[in-house]
Amino acid sequence: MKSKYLHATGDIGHARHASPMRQSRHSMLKPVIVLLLSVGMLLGVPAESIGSDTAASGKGESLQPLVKAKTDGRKEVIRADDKKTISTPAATAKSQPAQQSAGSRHIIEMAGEETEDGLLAYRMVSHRIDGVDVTSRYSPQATIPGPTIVLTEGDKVRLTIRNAVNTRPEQQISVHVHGVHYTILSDGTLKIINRVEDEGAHPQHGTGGRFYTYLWDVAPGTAGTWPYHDHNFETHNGSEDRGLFGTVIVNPASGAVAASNGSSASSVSIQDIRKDYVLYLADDAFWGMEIDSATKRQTPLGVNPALTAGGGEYVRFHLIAMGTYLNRFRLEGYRWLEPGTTQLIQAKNIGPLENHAFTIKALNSASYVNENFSRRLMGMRGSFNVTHGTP
Amino acid sequence: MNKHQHLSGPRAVAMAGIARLLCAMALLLTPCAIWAATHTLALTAEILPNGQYGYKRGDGQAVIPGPTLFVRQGDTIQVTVTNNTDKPAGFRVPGLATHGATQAPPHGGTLSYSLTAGKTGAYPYYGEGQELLGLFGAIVVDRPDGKAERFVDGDGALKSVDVQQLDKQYVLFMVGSTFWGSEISRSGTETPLWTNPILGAVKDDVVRFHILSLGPGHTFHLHAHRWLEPGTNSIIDTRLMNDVADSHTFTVKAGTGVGAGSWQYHCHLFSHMEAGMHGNFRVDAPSGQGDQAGLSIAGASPYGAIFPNSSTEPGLVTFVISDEPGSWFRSARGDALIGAIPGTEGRRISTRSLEVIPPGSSVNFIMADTRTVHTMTSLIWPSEADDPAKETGHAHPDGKKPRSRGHLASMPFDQSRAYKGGGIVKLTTPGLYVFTCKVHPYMFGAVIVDDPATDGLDLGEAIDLATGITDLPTSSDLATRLLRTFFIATSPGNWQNYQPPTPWTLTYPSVPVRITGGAVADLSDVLVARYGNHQVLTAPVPPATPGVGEVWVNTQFEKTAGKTKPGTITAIDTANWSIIRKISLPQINMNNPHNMWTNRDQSVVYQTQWFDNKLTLINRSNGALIRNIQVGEAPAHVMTRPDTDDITVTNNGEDGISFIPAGGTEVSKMIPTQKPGQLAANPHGHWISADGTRVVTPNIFTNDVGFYDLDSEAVLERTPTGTVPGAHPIAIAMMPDSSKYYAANLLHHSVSVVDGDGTLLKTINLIADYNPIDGTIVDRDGNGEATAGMLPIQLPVSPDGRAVVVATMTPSIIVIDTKTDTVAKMLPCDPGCHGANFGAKKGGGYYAYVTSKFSNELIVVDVDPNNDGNISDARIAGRVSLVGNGGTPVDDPVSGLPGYGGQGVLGIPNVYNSWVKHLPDSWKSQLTAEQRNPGP
Repeated sequence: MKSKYLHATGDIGHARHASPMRQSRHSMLKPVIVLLLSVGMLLGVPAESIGSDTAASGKGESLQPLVKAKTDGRKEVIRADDKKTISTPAATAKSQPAQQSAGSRHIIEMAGEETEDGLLAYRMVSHRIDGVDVTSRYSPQATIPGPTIVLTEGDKVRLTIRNAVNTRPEQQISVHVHGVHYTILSDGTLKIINRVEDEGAHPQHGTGGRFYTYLWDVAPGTAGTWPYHDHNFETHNGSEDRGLFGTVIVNPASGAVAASNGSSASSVSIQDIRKDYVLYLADDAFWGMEIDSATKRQTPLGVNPALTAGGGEYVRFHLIAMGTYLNRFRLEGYRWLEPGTTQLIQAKNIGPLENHAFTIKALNSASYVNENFSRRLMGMRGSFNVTHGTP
Repeated sequence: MNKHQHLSGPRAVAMAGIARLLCAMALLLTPCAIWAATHTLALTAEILPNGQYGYKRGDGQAVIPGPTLFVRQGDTIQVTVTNNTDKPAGFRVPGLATHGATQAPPHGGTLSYSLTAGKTGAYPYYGEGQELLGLFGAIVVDRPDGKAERFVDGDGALKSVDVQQLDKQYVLFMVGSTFWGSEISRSGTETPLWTNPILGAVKDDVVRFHILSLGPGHTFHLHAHRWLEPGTNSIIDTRLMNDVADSHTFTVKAGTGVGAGSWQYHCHLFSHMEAGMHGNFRVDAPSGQGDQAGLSIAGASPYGAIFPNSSTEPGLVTFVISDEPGSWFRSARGDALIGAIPGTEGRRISTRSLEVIPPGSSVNFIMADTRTVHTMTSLIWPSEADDPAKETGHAHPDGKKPRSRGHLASMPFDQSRAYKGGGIVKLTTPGLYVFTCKVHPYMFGAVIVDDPATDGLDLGEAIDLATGITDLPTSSDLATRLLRTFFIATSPGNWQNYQPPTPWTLTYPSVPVRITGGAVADLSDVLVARYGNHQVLTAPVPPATPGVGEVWVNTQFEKTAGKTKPGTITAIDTANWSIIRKISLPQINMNNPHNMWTNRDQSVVYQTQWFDNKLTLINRSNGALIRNIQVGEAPAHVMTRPDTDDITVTNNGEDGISFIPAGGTEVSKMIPTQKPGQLAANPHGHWISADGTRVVTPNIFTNDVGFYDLDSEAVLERTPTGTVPGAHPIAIAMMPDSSKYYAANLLHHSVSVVDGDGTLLKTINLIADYNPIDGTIVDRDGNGEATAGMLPIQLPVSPDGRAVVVATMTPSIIVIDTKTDTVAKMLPCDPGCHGANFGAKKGGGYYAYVTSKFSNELIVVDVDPNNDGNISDARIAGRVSLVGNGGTPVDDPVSGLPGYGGQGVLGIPNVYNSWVKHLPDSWKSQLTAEQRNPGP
């Protein structure tokens, strides 16, 4: 597969159909890739589809949008079920060196929408992993925080964003991700920043392309919990503060993380973690999401949620801050590992877009709180309810 | 570009290196310190061309950040600091043991310090007290073995690298909301890169970042790169920089795994992002860029083009955001513009809040002299400046000018949440720019972007206002009236003085300005011709009829000797209109006291400190401090619940109302003024319903009136005010029976009338009779009165519900008849007319007490002198001087701006309906039966 080849050479494919002029400006692409892309262009093949895996392309992916550059530089949206734009997987696969990789390939489509409180939120439209549709894991509604995308080191992601905020046709929604690898065309920023392209999606009746596709290389060394967020709506800062944020969890290829039993540390298999809690520390509330490890189902928990766990279970907290305030998180009565160390801590300062993930054994019910003076008074706290015995 | 050699240490560095190697081999079994090197660092603090400060080493250029010193762990650093600035500046290096002098070198003096590099890492050194103005630099302590921090390669491997192998190093200070950078080449040459630079590198260069911060905290984020948290194996891409001082050093391989590109670096605090705190890390492909590959590009600098200095480099002017009256946006070069503008030699320019730059230079803001949060918000900008097509060549697809949050264009500049820090914005379109703080909307800073090729300073053809007004000619009355307001607000010399009455002589910059149609006129001549000068003032004569009890006035700008922050309370006895005492509370450095309320028995006065985060409790009978309670940022107004006596305080700098139970000593909760995730409302002058269950707030940042249930904390209603954004509702008043609420829309010059359920009943236009182009005020709305109420602020309803008295900055006092909700009368007021509240008149009826920021008298209005229910005879009953004399009891001697800054005002006893019913009998007995029971 092309993406694997690209990874092996230290680069990954970029998200957009590139014009020859753009290729020359971005000569970081290896000549062989330029050649591949050029061949693709001659055949009318959008760059992304070169790397499409057989299963996904074979099913036609009716919602799979592709964006093609026209000669005048304006964008045209082409649906992937338009046969003229579909490459034959066999033909492209043949032209690429075989490369072994254990990673999975994720084909994701998300939409940015407005909520009834005037906020913005991401919704999962479709997620396939190696051709298997896992969309049912997600809430059918747009949620805050947005869908949690769970990956493993070695995976590849192709994520398409659609803009469903039709009241603001001139505004783009993008996905800018932290932590994983991507080229400049998958930065999810405006041209005024990246100097190449406005990397977001306009709404249906908007003035620009309706979709934008990003390629992520979940390379070794990217394990961790990372935010993704809008970077383009209204200004070049985006509207992450209005609800357009979500989480990427990259599990380590080793399959194990360090955990705290309260007084000591140990290594725990990811599979033995019963629940993942995503807690965004936004400016005025914790926004929660729970992921059941067995079913992989995601449940949005709203603001300042009560978290539940069974006694003795391992649970993993994924904290990310968002907004303007600096925060201090405490889970009263618990101690957990400072990431990358063997040191146990009982509170953590977290600034906007920092992440802090830790795994603990649920022992006793407790409260969690943001100790920032005014944020605590605004009600930024919740409970961690640990039940004992057989339910 | 200026270059100077980086401070590579003593000549004996090679020997020291060998010694270190031996030391490392000896596994620390021998006292290695004896081989440690000693470095000398001679720093001089200088004033830069824009008034900021910078350190220079030896004969080098003074730069921000100051010269970087690289040493190794165990080394000793001998520092001498000479201070050539006009301010004391200590020398501190938090994290490194410092010996020797502890005090600040005085002007022209030199002091010596000795430091021990005990731990590895980057350490900020700074001139204490002036660090936010530019007196800072970095000392980098490297490991004895010469290793830099490991980097994360594209394949995830953690790679070791020697400092000597680094392709380059960057120093980036995060100060305010601006990055200040420099670059150190492989050969050790340090190049200043100034503000928000483009950091250049070639792909696969191994580069090291030294991120340092001083003042309010940040998070540093660099797109598409990952690195190690020092001392751990944790891979991060965003790093908290804690408040006060912090540092973070990491190494990356440029573009590894992600390729070349223009990768943004920025602070990830949202308000700081909006305030301009970003730059780019440009990773170039190894070939194809020629000799430009990997070159960094410096940003705007104090040495660049700022009026009148010519330069081919972009310049930077800096405003210090301050709690100091009149100097809220104080140019770092103060009144250095005097004489620089042709024709001003020997004149007073009268404001320290005006700057002049050519197109393409930048304005920097630094909250260096304030104790609370602010925003740096465009109030006025050239009409062409918010058009991205004209500003950036980036045409807007539908051809319309976008009006929201400055899409791509630099104007309007704004932040959605008040914050601590600063801001930086590049201005490219000639014309007039006025910045304000949305929390404290009389803080003004003005910038004229002047095209050097035109005659006169360019005010531009037309301006847009944050109020929704577009394309207003700069020659219009409204434009020049706003300019006049600016020159009064920002210059205490232009304030009215009644003690003794002094002819009101206004001083404006006498400079040629270019206005609509390219006409060039003298600014001072225009303003004097339009609005006169040398107005004769008469001594205040108090009302003939006494009031009941006392009236307390927040003389918010009055300065006293024993504290650095301004503000006193002037308490007046209404029996004879004499000053009882002045309360300044030097022991807590009371800062800009803004608004007051009392407890039920009138024994405790609650006082907000608007440029701070405290509510202060004061003993009414003797003026003594009882308690100082942290409530939230920029607490504006305080009121009690009439039914419970619980205290509510609006946190004007935040998103909620602090709640203190009656008799409590700390805030028990903050009631949100918006649902989770919605834009912060930042309420100012609230009111509470007569039954105590509801609080109604004017939400400045979201332009609406909010209704909240005090028991359940539910958001009941949010009623937008104004037909276009930018109404800036600032104060609420209420009918005695809570049937109607009134909201003053500061920037829309209107009053919204809202019923108890939040339904907007009416919007009263206070400038219906005013023509903004020619300035005439005639009866255009046909109500028989020619009135104008520009910039309305406080607007209480009389306790009997007959009248609304609106203090406006026309200046005027507008009286609204609540039966018809129309303007009944206009009375004169003083400049900066601001606060109003009612107290009881002896024998029946009420006085409205009206304060003005830029005068030192209190105006007493009798809204219904004959108490017949008809308010058409409303009149000024008298005026009371707010200036004390030698016999006035004080807790700290008055040292400046006597009696000025009138804002919050409170009649004691509190005679508003509901509250009056809970008064102790000792107070009730002084009231008439009607006064004791004014409403349902």
